[in-house]
Amino acid sequence: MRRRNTLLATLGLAAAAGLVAVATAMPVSPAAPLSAAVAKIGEKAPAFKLMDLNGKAHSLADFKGKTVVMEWFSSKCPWSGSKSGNSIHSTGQVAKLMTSLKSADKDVIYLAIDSTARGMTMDAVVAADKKAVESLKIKSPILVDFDGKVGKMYGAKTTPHMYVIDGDGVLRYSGAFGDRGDKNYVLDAVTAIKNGSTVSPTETRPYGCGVKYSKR
Amino acid sequence: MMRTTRFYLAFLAVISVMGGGAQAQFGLESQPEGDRLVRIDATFATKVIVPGSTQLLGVRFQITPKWHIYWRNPGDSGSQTRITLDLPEGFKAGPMVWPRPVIHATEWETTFGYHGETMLFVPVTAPAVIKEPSIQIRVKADWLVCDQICLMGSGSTSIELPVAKAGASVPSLKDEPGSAFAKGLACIPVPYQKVKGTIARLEMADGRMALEVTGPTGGAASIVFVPDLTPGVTSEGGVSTPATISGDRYRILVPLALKPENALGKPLEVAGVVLFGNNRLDPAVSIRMPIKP
Repeated sequence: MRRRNTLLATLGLAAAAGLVAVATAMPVSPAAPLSAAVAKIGEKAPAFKLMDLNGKAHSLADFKGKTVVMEWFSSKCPWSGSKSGNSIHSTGQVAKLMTSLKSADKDVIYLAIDSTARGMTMDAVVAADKKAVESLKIKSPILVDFDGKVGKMYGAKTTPHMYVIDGDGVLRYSGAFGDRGDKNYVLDAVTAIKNGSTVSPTETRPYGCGVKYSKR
Repeated sequence: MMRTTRFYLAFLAVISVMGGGAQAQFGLESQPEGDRLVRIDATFATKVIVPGSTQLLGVRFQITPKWHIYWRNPGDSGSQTRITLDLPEGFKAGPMVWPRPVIHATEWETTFGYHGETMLFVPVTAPAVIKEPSIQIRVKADWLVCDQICLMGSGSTSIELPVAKAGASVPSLKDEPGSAFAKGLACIPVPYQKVKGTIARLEMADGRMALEVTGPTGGAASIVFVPDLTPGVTSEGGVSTPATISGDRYRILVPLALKPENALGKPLEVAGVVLFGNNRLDPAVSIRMPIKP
């Protein structure tokens, strides 16, 4: 097979030349992203206290006894708070989810958290988020994690990256919003917690823009 | 089904690039359209459609410098590039065939994708009987393109091919080494079973499962295993695993975490590619094997 031979020849050629074209290669050393993440499925979710866009403080401890859904958010990301055909806010997927969540568990709490702050001031983050709230009619509070500490504790990688914490403060789900079809893993997790059944899946790979943490 | 008498237009119908030209300067403020950062065109492996045959359709992505799009496993963030074909009745598209990705590592994250130029492939199977003298394939691609910011983009193109007689023997671009098509195919990872001296196996150590891959280095300075997205099976210790190199051989050991409850109803498997070097034209080996818990 020709293409196989081409590749094998390339391997052989590399051996003969002593190197492959690494001069133009991008760095390959794997990053150590979010190594401080301490949140683990089945364990107590890390405590936090953050301000929302109106300066109101929200603490995870405030919601003891209630299931808490957290959505990592960015006003700059077309999967998240930037208008696009794929945005979970633009397309009404979050609004639909919140309605479904309330049907499954009337006491559920929904929080958006914004850890994207690279190259931005606090005022700029708040202003951009307020604009997104207005244009996308976002109903949930958006908590500003300007220094990224909460995002890094949870290992939030993308916007969106979803988490579900049960009433005992235990992390029960981390990952994607859904399967990019009709399946919503967050709703499944909240429903399972309400019914006392097994959460499945507990972890999926989130997709979306990388969270642009502040370099400070 | 599309009809046309313009057979002569069909040859290598690399048609209709959507969006504007590549634009070099983009700042955070200018918010460029994601569509314009990537140009696509499509090429079919043969000049004609042979009823009952399967051939590859290649979709070339030309990406504005500094920006990148994503592999099927985007890594820490991102979203896989998608191709959708609008095919005439009776035609079928197979699963996408992906060239090796390059690793994009920053202080914050490691992602897998493409920059510069790449070609993704889709197998197209024609029905045994085609009544029309020619057919048209419409191609749509969607991508997330990122640099300091990410933008959603999409593009479309179409290709028109005359229909040959069933059983006709026609030359394929894959046999023309200088063609962009053949160069694109050369970037497809080779199954490890076909690379002499390469062994991949699952092993149990201290009650934990691990994937072990060993093989010849080919002189590559860096060798890294990059996993596929395999629900219920995750590689521990990072999104990619570097090899240890000893003489002219390498060894990669990937500790695996098995969580059948996260398999989304799919059979457990381990899969990924071993990348030799980090240039898109460097060799790569693919691995896929089932796991019996």
